[in-house]
Amino acid sequence: MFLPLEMQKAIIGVHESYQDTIIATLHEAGIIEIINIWDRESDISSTLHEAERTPDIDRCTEELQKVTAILDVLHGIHEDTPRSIREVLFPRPAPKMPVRKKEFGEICREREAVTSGADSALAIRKELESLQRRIGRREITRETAVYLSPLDIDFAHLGKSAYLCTIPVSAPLDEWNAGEAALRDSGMDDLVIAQAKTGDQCTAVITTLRGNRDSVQKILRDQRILTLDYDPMSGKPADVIVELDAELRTLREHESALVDRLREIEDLFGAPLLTLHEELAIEKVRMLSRLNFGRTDHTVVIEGWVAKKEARACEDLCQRVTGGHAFCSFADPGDDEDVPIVYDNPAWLRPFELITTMFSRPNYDEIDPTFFTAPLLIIFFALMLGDAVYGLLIVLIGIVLKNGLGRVSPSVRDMSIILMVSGAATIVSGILQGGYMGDILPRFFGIEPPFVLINALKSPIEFLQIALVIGVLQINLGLILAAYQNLRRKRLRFLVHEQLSWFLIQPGAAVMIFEFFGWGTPGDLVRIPAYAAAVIGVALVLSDKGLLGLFDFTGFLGDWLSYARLLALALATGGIAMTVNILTQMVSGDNPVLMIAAVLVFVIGQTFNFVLQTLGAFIHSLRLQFVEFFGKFYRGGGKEFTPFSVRRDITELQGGE
Amino acid sequence: MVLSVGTVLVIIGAGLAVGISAIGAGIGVGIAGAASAGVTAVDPDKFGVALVFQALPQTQGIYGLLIAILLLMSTGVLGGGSADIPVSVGLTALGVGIAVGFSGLSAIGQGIAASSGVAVAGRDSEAVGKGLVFSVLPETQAIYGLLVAILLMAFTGMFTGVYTLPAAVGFAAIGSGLAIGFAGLSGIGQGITAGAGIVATARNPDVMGRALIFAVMSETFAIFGLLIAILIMFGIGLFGGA
Repeated sequence: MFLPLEMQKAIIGVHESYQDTIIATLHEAGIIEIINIWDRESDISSTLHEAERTPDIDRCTEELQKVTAILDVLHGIHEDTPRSIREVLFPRPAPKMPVRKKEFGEICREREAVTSGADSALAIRKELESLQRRIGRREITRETAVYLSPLDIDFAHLGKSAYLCTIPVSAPLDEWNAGEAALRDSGMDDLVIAQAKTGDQCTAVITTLRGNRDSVQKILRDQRILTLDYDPMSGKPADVIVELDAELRTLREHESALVDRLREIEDLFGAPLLTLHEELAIEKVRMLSRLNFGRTDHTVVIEGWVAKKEARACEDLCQRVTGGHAFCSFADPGDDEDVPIVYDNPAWLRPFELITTMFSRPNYDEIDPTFFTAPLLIIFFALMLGDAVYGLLIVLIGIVLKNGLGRVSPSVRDMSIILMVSGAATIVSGILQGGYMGDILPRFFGIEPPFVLINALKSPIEFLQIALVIGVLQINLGLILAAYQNLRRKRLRFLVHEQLSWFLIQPGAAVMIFEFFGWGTPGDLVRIPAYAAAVIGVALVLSDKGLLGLFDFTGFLGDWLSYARLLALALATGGIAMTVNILTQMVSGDNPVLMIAAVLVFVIGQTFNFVLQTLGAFIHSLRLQFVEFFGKFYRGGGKEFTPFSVRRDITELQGGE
Repeated sequence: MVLSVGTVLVIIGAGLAVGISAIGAGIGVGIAGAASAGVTAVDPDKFGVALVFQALPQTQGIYGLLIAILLLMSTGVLGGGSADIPVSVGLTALGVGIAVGFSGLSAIGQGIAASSGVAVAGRDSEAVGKGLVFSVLPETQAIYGLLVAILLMAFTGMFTGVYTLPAAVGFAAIGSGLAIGFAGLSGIGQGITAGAGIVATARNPDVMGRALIFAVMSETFAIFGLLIAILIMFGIGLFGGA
């Protein structure tokens, strides 16, 4: 719990005939992180040779591409957006397709059978895309016809003829007038053969010599006059619109029929295709994993990391599936090895691992701070939010998330647990601080909240004292953990200069503060030893870092005073909620309109305060962990353990390997 | 209501608290908002995350509003029951306003850091948490400002309504407010470092601890300001002194 899980380096050797069996077994078991023997200098690589890339890897890639191509075509053909808020909040986990163990050849044959039925989807998609492009062109032409409706001009006259070019345009009136003037001034032989004004918009048809076409279009572009696009047609605009409407109806019916055919294919082959896709992806991972191994003439050697407590299970597994024809050796990691990190926390603490991970995973043999930081994070959050109603809301949000999205997403489930615990702590803290959406109880109901121990608004100095005491305790916890680590690693110099020095300085500093502010007069029996220890502590800091050590004192002071934010955030939560309540009181009156306005002010104001202060309390609590606490003992930088494991999102293996 | 000189000074103090901090919060929110708009244009799904980052520098404005309301309520300007406010309390209110107002300008730094945070979070959702932690660093200055303001209010009897201190104490309170208020501007520098820290951590997640150390260096000056503000209070006999 206080250190990451102990790891061992495993070396597994099997006869080449067992290669695929051992790969599949380890893949399904997910207990080993495979090391690429050839990526770095390995203890055993000099005695081995590299595995060759076999043709089945390329074949598997091809098979996967064929399935992916059809899945891409079918993607989104069924609308799967949630239809109700209930579906958004409580999504049902998708049922998994049962599959049995198959040889690669069998998967390929299944792929052949499924895609032969489904590959018509590719042709349908091609036809559909062509059709949709045509519908788009027809809609543009219809729009142009609507623009040209006021003009008595045949579509057949538009475009290029042997000598002329006729261009339909549309623009706001002012821009059209400027454009027309520019065309006149250009000296070209162009002619506006028709124009119509509708409100502020002008539609016109310009004819010019073919050779002048580019120049005219440049002028039109410069004047921001829109050139209307169209497909070649004939007839007056009104006739064209009727003709296009009929054609568009036919095209859309055809489009709908094609989409229906794709949906039928998706209904029939969607699930088998997705299953095949996952099976082929798993096969490919297994095939590629061989490239990490070493070989002798007839033996395959696998190197990897295994949790020490899983080593025996790993060996038993290998022996069982090879009928005892495997050799396994496990060794503790050396000093300079890049050991992957697995947290070793009890189930109740695991959701909080994401807090540590957010900063950085611990290094191997470094203290995992999750156990210490989790309760402190919650306590600080609860102190800063300090409102029972807000706490209750957070608990409710946590419950909704856990029973909804949390069922399909482990990270949401972890977050929901953190929310529920934080919310519960905030309820307790809120009761002790008398915070119920600020001062709603005394202000609106004349009730004095019971069980109040301390209120940040009424007793800020006492609250500040509590905050600073908490700060001293957490900072010293950090120093103790750092001292413990240095002791374990026999780094006595660091222990003396970086931790012991502060343990010596603090009693003297406390005596000095008490005397300076007149809070008490400790006797000589306390004062003289405390000051003497402080002098030794200061000397230890300065002897190690020289004058730069002076910054350590301001740094320590800053870390300590930083805990004043517990008071600041508690004040902000209660104070802003109280301000909302005052505004509600000021707005309210006997008039129903004023009552509605007051309710709106209250709901919007309290919601705003709840969201902002919850966010603030969480981030500031995190800051106190990451900066003030972790800064004393924790470096992090460990590499995540990424086991060689099957990722089955939609399938479930029946009957085992 | 009797508008004594003391009352007028309290009102000015409330105005300084909310007004100056609103400048900082406004600029900070604006800087973060500009980056948020860009990120949302590229990926509209990032709207929620961008909004969270943009909301961070608002806090300084909220602290200003909180202190303004507390000043107005504790002296009876808001909610009635106004007693005759002595000049010493009015001057202290000025110091309170200066403390919270100027330290609220740290929101500019927070906006700079938040804009880096939202830019990185736009590309990598896993960077949101680290971006938030860095972005919240420059709020420390505002928290110190709020702390000094509350201490001044508590020690001069604004929470109890018992006013016994002479006018000179009020002038000294202004000194306290100036010390922490102007030292709070170090938050701008901290925001610049924190913004760079966010980018550095996005490139190499393992440097977060060291990037945090760089970013908190600017806080040293805020601590100097806080120290002097507290020593002034102590020197004039507010903080357990003679």
